[in-house]
Amino acid sequence: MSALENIPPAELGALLRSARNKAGKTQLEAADAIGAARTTLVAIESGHRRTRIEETQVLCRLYGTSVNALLRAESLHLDFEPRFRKLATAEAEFSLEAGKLLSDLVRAEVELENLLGIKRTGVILPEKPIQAGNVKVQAEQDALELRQWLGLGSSPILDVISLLELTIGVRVYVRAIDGRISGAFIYDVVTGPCMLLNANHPRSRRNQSGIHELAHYLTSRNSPQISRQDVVTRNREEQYADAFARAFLTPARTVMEKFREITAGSRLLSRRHVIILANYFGVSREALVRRLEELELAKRGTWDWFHDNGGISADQAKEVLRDSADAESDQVGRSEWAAVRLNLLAEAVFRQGLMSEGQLSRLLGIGRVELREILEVIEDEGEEAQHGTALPR
Amino acid sequence: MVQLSLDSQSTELFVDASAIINILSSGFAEEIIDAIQNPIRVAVVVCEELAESRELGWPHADLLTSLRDMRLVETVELEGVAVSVFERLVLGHGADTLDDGEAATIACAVKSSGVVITDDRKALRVAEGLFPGVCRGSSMDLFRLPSVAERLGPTRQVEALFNALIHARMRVPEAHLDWAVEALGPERVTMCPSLPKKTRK
Repeated sequence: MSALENIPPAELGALLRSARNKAGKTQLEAADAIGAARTTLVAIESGHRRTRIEETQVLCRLYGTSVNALLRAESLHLDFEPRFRKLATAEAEFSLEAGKLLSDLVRAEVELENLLGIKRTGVILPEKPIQAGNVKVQAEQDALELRQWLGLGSSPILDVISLLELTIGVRVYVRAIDGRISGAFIYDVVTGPCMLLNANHPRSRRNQSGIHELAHYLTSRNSPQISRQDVVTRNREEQYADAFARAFLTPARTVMEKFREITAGSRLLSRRHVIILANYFGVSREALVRRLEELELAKRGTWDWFHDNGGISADQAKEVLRDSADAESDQVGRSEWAAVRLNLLAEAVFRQGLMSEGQLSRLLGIGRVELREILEVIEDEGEEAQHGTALPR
Repeated sequence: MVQLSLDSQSTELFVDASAIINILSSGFAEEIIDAIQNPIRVAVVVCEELAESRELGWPHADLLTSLRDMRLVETVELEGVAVSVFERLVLGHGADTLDDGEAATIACAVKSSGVVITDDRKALRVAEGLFPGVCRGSSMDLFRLPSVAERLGPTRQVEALFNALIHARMRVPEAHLDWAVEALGPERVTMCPSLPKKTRK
């Protein structure tokens, strides 16, 4: 019996159907590629007819994958796209692209983890569906509770992505995606919570997006989300998520205390005050002022006044903050930045000879030269390490 | 596996993507391949993989097409026994299998009793385990073939090596490392991040 015959026809058919759907090919196109009638393809996909390896190869080629990528034993056939497709409207193709990217990144990471025998750990946050009544009050309360539960107290969060990834166990990817999308979230029992944030947005914006998506994980984890900043959705879910992010990143009491310290002796809220406070909390200057308005530390319309009077520029922030890192200016824009964990896993798999260059570049969706660049950077760092830094086995 | 030795000029060389991109990035692909007297074969699956990377901005597919049009390289389909070898190499556990291009290259070489040219350590390990008699070589073996060295001359041979290191991030096997470092000279060595860090100090 050949290796292909060992795969049950129904399973093979389902995998081929899924790959075809993902590639956006019709049954007719697929049938034409293998020189068969559409009914033959239907029979293949329903497991009533076996394919030969040559046909399988032609179909995989048409679907933009390889036989090995589709059929190797550890391949994870995870496809979030249909779930995202239900969300997106017809004109929002870029939203689906983000969903597909998240799906590909998660699939790659989980397969690499499986090959390396890594079990991911993280806390399982209990689900807290939104109750009837004021969502903002609930969000404020839930954010405070979660902060206490995570042992964060009321301090500002210096690194939101590390908190999400390392403490809460969310798979977070920061990639350059369409500017209209701030984040995407999906939960799956196999992968746990997964999040995509926009590398083209400033760090402060990404922080808010990350916590906004965390709110979705808390309240409605089985509904995938694509958050767009060009569309204002005012349903209760979104109101809750926005309020939760504000309360989590800028806890009321701490904001009040810091506001008092920073504005001591002043009669007016200046640009300098806003810049310092926004930087302290790692949020955008607009988010900070709106929070001050919400907490009645500034008059309603304060942000609009700043906006109408020249705004608060990056240069002004640079001038005030000088050498300290400015959350607003920290643009990433490079796809590799927060795929660090994925890259480390890829290097480990490659070094241990568990995957070839061809398998890895296909899994990660990058060219071979790009893969070589990633691997050599990690190898260089490894070579630098002294024996004293060897990890215990 | 048997280390590359081109005693017979009729022995076909089956070049995998991991190696062909190094040759194509050398700036002297045409001359290198022309200088190798043995037939050079590239599996169609490898050509398709390179074509996919065209979208990512890589020129390798077009360069390979030019070589094929000049009849310096011939593309080969999987046929006969190569099909079952291919099947054996792509299906199974991830750690024991290869991607289609790597598998097709080995399968064609096995069928024709040819030489597998690959820089991929896993491809070599898998091929060695299943087909211990298959002869193998690397990109560096090709760069250093006497006929290639003679055709390019020492200056252009080093230039070709340098281009492959810079543009394709070619890896140099340990056996060729001393020669490569010596040939490139200290200034160029520091510019090649794909060389081991210890050689760049």
